Amino acid sequence: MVEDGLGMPWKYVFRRLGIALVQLAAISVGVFFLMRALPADPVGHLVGFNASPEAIAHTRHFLHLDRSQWDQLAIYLGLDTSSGPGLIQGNLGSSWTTGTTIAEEVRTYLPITLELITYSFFVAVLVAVPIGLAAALKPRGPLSRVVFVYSLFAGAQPEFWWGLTFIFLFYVKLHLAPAPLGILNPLAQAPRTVTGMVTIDSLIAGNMSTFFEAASHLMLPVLTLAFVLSGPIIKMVRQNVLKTLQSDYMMYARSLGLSQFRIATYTLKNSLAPCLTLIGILYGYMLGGAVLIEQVFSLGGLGQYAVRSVLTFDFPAIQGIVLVTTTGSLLILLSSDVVHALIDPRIAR
Amino acid sequence: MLNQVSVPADAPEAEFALTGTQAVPATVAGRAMRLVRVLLKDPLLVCGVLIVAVSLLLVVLGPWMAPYDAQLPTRDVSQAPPALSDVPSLILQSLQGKLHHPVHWFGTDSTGLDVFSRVLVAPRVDVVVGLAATALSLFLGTLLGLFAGYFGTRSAESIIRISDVFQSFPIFILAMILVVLTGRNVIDIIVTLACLYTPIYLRLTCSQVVSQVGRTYVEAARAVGNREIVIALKHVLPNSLTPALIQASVTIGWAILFTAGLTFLGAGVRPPTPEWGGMIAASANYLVLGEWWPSVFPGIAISVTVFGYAIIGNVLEARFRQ
Amino acid sequence: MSAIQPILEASHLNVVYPLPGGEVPAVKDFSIEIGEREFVGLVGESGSGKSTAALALMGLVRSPGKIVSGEVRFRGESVLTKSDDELRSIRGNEIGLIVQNSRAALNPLLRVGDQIANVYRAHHRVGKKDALQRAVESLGAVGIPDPKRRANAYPHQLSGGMAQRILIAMATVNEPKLLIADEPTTGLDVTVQAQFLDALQSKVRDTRSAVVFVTHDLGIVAHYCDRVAVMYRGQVIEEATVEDLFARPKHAYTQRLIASSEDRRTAFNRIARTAANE
Repeated sequence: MVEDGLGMPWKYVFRRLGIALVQLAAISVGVFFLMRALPADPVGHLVGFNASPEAIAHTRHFLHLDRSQWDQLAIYLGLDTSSGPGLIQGNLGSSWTTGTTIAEEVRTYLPITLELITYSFFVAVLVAVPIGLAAALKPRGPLSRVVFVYSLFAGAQPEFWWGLTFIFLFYVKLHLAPAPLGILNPLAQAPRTVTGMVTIDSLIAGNMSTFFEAASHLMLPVLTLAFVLSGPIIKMVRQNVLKTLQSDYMMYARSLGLSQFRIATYTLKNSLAPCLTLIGILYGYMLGGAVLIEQVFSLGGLGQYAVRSVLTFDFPAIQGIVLVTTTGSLLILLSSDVVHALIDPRIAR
Repeated sequence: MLNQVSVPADAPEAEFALTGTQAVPATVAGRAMRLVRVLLKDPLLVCGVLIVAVSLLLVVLGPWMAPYDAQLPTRDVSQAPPALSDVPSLILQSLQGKLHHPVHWFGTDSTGLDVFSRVLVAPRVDVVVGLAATALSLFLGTLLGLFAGYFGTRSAESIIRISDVFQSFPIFILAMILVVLTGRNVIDIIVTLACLYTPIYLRLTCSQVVSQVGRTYVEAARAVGNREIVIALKHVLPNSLTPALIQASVTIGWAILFTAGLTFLGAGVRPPTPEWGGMIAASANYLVLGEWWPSVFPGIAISVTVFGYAIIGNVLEARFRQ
Repeated sequence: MSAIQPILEASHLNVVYPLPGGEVPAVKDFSIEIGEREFVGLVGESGSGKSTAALALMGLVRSPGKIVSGEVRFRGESVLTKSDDELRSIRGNEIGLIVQNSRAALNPLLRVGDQIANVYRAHHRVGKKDALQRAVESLGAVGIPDPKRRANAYPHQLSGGMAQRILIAMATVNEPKLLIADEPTTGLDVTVQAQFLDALQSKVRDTRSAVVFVTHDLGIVAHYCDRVAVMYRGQVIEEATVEDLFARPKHAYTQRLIASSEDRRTAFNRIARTAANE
């Protein structure tokens, strides 16, 4: 019953990966059929609602919409040898509106979203953890109360409206921030694409001016997103630290004379571990949820791409976005759970 | 929209529970009254209750309280709201009936629509969607959760697995797909959100039920001869509802944010239906021109309303988590 | 057996809990003297204040309680006037504590050996390896088989009885002169109880410590204690040596207490003797 090391919980990881694959397949196939079952007509959007019947029929045939849904699925997966490579061969298809391959479009838009979300989480965690900690150390004090109210408030905010308000404040009135026209000035030279994330790529290329340019354009969106994220993170940190500080083992540790330093390390480890799962969930949610900020600041991320695709009924694009975001979300959830399991021996054994 | 209801928050009560210090009222009404009195001592909670009450009031009486028709443009285009110093005298004059036409308290937008009236009428979409979606998902989720938890661990596990699928999925995109592809009606939004929130209540209720099923009162009810379904509905369900009911308030807030966001993107309700998010979207471009009032006031409305629902949900959770 | 100067003296200790309905006195005018190497029992029903009193001897009180008056002197020095910082050198070092719920008292994220080592390192300047070595030794000293392997375990992997004995190791690793045990056997099976108590007894004999043993079980008191204080509703109503208390109980409450536990006591002694013989 006694284990030697707190190593990687391989069995747990593989089991979760297996379940994740099933979930991914279920969602992808589900969305595939769902889109075709709903009363939405993509053809009309593509050729116009007043097109000739021949044009409509031709387009329907070209998009395989005249075939049965199972046939369409087979074609999409690449199981139908007569219609070229499909998902199994690694082909995500091409957009019905732009004609570019989905893979290429995803490769362009996904890194921008990841850039935005990652920086925002960084800032949010950096700010939220000390505040939540401080509030929990004096639970009946005024700071704790203020922090509690703030965490509720921040988590309840419409981030798109705050984005606009910040633009109004910092760009229109105070001239402190650049115009919300995207991650780089439209006239600026984009750095060579390595990761697709503009700030990282410009650092890799050694192009400091582009780096600062991109960073300054990211300032307000990151501020807005971090503001909204700080709400639930502060709430969770404060709750967990309080719970830990009042737990029996902390009281016992204190009664045995452990040093302040030791008590502090116990507190941090025991209270931050459960927060990891929440952060994973939030991050996964943000993969799709950052769309509002992307729209307000014209960042050109996956969320905007998703909105465009949905509004134009671009089925392959929607399919590809669903696939990519679900995969990303599942991987993030798995990673955060694994890290949590690495710290807490009671999980996944 | 990102507030999650989970682990107990504030400092716990004393562990030293000597009885005899406070008499416990015998009747349900008495306990309810004491509960209300205790809760009302919290100023934060009072704020939340007020906000929610106002939102519900606007749902019912909004159009009658609005000075103008929310969908009819007036002659005053892009008129700024009155200066703060003028507000008291304007209130006085309007109460005395001295004004020819009502004041544009929040100004008008670029098409001449009165912002104040539209803000007052929008809850008929935003808050109604929130309430309806939450009610529907609460109903479905708790029933499904009850049966999953009560009638067998195998079915419980598989239902949990299926609802887990939703947790891993980027909800926003799925909701967007559903709403847009079904036609962007209010009903579509309600149904979509209900589908998305049902797994939350399902999981909450299921785990509560599972922990209740082992309790003695269930055994006792069985021993007396009750049918299983009666035990499930009459005895176990009321005791398993607490976490779901607490979550409900927070979900209403989420739904309002979602509706506003979706409409802001152009994927929600169609104009000219007054809706807070849509109002912000329509006037976003005018911000750079200095015309702040058509976007700011609806935003404040969303901000305050969702905050109010969040307060209720979270304060209740802080008090009653067992 | 009684020393010239008691190792612990408490006089007129009062602890209250401020509750919404008013202040509740948990411990009223509590006074006791513990001599060196004495095994003193503190008995009473639930709610008699015995746990609160025992913890207060270390200056500990569960929130939101408050020690409002009284004095505690440990080895001549006042305890209650010292700050938490000053008390840290005494707690875990010269006064050890064993609590009731061992699984809850252990940090779930740390190995047991590391936790004991941390208690040792809190009061001695040694490296991690040496401290861990000492922890393993202390586990062996309380009769835990295969101590090196057990030290690598996490609390949730241990049985209740094992975890409770680990608490003995943790509380005594620095060889304190006074051990306060707050109902450590409540909730354990009778056989496990006997194992625990024997381990405790042998350990305190080795380290020559005094013990304040809080319990509601008169059987344990009869078998292991030298002196007993009986508490009722926050007050000590009777105090005597074990022989005197059981032979000539003076207070009516004590008499009732003894009467109700007579049967249990005989059963316990029988089982304890059987367990000791195994």
